Amino acid sequence: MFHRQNVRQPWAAALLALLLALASAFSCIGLSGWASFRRQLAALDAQYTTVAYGANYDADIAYNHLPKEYLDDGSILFENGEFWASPNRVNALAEQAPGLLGRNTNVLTAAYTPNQKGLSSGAVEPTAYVDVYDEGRYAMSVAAMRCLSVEENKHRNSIWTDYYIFRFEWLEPVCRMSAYDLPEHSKVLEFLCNVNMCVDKDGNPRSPFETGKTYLFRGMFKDFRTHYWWIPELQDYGWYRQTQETWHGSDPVTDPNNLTYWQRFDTSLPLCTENGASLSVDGVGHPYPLNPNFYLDARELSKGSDSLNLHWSASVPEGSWPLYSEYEGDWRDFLETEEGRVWRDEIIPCCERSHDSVAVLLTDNIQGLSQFCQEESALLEGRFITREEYDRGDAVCLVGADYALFNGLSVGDTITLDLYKPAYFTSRGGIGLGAQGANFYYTCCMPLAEENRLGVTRDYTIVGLYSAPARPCDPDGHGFRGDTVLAPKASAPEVLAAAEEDRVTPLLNTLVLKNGSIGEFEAYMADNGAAGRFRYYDYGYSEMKSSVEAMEASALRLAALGGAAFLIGAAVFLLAGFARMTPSARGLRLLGASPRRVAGEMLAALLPLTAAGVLAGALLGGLLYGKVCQMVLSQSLAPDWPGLAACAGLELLVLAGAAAVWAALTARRSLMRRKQE
Amino acid sequence: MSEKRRGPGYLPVLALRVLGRRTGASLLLAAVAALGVYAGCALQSLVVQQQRAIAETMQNTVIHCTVTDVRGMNADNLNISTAYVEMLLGRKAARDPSLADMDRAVANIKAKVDWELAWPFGMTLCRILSFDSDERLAGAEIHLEPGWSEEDFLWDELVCLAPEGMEVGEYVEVIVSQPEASPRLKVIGRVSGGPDNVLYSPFFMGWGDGKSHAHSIQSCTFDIRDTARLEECKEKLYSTPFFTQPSVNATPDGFAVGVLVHDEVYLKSLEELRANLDTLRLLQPMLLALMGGISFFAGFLVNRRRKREFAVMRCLGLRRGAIFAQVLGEQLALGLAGGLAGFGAALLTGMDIRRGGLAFSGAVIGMFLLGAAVCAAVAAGGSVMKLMKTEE
Repeated sequence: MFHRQNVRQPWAAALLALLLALASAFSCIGLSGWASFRRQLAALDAQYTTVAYGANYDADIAYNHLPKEYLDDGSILFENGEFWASPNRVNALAEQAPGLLGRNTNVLTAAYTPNQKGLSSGAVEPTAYVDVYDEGRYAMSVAAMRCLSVEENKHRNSIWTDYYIFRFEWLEPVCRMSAYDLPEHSKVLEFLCNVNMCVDKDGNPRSPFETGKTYLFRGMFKDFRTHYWWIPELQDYGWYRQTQETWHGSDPVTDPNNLTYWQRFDTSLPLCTENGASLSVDGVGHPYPLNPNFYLDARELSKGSDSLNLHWSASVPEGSWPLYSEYEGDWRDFLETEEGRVWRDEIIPCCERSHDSVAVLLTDNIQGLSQFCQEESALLEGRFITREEYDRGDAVCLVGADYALFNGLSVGDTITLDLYKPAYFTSRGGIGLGAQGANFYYTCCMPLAEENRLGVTRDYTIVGLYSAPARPCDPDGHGFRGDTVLAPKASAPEVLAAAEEDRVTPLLNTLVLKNGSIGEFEAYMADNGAAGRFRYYDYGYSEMKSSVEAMEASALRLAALGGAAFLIGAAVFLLAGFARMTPSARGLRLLGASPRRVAGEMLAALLPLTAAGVLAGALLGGLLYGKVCQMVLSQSLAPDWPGLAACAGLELLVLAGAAAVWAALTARRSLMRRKQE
Repeated sequence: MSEKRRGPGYLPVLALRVLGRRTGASLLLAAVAALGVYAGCALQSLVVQQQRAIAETMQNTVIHCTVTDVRGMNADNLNISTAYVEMLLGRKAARDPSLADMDRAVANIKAKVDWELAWPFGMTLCRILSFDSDERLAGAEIHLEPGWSEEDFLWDELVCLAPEGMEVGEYVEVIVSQPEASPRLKVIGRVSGGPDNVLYSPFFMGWGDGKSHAHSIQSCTFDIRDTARLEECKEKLYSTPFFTQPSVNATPDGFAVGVLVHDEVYLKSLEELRANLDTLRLLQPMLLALMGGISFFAGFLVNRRRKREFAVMRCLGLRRGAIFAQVLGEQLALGLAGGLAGFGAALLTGMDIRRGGLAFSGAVIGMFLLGAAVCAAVAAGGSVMKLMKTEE
């Protein structure tokens, strides 16, 4: 019967459906607006990275007051009530702090690049050379040298001071990075070796070298000092002079212009105890990595025999590469001998691989790296790695622009990385010139030892070029030069598997915070006695805060408006719809139809109308929103169709429920009372 | 007939009675009007709020710039003349007109040069443009003598700041080996909590020998003066032959330097914020159309039920115009009441109501009345006999 009513008065039914469609469209547009704003907020959020770096993590504790209590975690409570939280405590607190999204542990390793040249710090601009940046890979050299003299050090005053002073002269660099092939300034150089090698097993002084003999050495070549000065006579910069007084023993090296230079050859290696522990620690207090062929066996000296007070004597482990080999005649002939085979086939190739290598920093967020946060590095060309590429572990990377220029690479090219197991040490340095700070850390990778080779060679596509400081000097984070390839962590699972977690330098760790939560995080740390222990960067997110809040408010209000419009539209729809049917329903009841049947018939007539209205409204709202947004806005704000479908479904359910209740009430209305009225 | 005798003045009373008797329908219609007005105010308020937030963001954001070589590299190893800093300070306009008003484009220039001194032994003379030019001064306290200010470090006075612990009188003699000079610097302040081996002097300070000594700087950074004028400021910078947008493929000519403007994140964010504002503006007409439609149909459908009532009124002698006026009056009363309620709710919820919001609200009420008017016209214009046959 009610169907017939609809059919008899189609325009009225259509108007009702249209009313509902409009209300539904209104709510769908509100929902689309809300969803769009959420997407925009997410996009905005994704552009920002908020990170916290442990600042002064090894800061000297101010012992202005007497300690009252040492806590188990290393923290100290002073008598005046001041509290110093140990790094362990700071880390544990940070894990509990509000706003912490996670800990980003970057992984540093090295890779041999078969088709590219390594970029030592002074390769492009000699004035930028700093030995600390070249340590490990680029500085590793093999040199033929003659021992000029071996003298006892009369000024020796500590266990760190050499017992002997060795004077060596260059014969020839057998294998040295081409960047150092500048005109030699002198024949004589400063020679360094482990002081522990200068005693025998019984603790007696013993010089490993003899005057007049020739040796092949492996070690770190350190070029002349980086300090430079303007020389009016030469109208050029000269290298900074080290005066004889500042360096014990050795003679200074003087060039024809009466300027003094130093070159050094350092054969020192970390010491390994009998139980396999590293005796040497790096700039952040971590034991040096003990790579095969790159450490010395240390043997503890008994108190009675330790005449030099060295505690340990050191020697090259059995089976390891020699640190030096004595030879006669030409070193080339020596390399052809059986004794020279290891130099020719193993040591020199390792040296060459190390020269043609890059540092690889595996990360999940390049913008979270301290150097990028501080705008010391910036994207110059191309793009950053996308979140999807990080997650998928795509073989994409960013390389330094200076490295790319040096090797003729550009965005879109591929770079082949022959990956090695992570092995690095951190130096604590101070350059003292220019904009550099007095203290900074720099983490260097060890030479590329064959034993550390992972056997994984992968072609990485360069998606961007970044600028890097010539002299990175970050006091708290990991500083890097342009020869560092930045790639997704997941792109090299073999490296991650080989990384030793206990050796991760804190400089590579970053706490990733929720955008806008710095204040909350620091307040928590301060409340727990660890104020000021982190440095924060948010790329200016805090300055965007008001806009973000406005967007959030817009999203919510729009959704609320849509919902309210739908509810009122639906109420009018039901009111008008049932008003049409009420007299007929009464008639049916008077004719003897049961309330249930009447209610059912009313619902059967109303529900198709409801469904048509709601679905048409959802479709209209979605299309209208998507089409107009696409036409007007530069970016596509496509409606969220599954969301709209869910919204329409929910609206239909609500309406059906309300209609069922309304129909039941209408059908059960007392006929007698109605008549009396 | 007695009702008729009471004259047209009785109609408003009748209208009110009708509204009172049909509580549900009246409330619904008023709610539609209220929601329309509230929606209009809310949308306008959101637009205003977003505009204000964008303006605030622009005002708060500082865009940093780094001087590099033309390829965008060596920011920390520039070795460029201090003349570039003078250009940024707007002091070289006489040399090149394109440098005029440069100081209106850039601000907060940070540059420094360290000179190792032959005397006092172990000390460094650091020339700075401002106190934040040297990171080592971060967190340090600087106490200046009366009459001196940070501004003085922009010029060439023979003055210096000495470390708190350094024993000096009113003047300190320093010896520079290259070029050979031994200026006498007036100590105008002390630095506590900073480096204890650095004397700070004005960036352009001479050596007191009456000669001009150009020196080179390692690094230089500055900020865009007004973020709202970012493009204009960038254009100003890049319009000179001395500053250029760095490109990896550029060839250094020993003349121009690059300026990296760190504005990528800011520009992307601004794009999102503006898209958000555009979306809101776009929603306004769409929601107006929909709200108007709802109002129209709500007015029409609710009054359609009263056909019989209108017929009775016609039978009692009321003219079509009077019925039309009464229906319209009822709707007007409901619309105004609802509109006022919506307006009040908007005010109570702290919305920023301006002309746009009022116009939107007016348009919604107009559509609401139009719906009622169409219904009233149909009702009043129909045949009485036909209307009387209408089922209740």
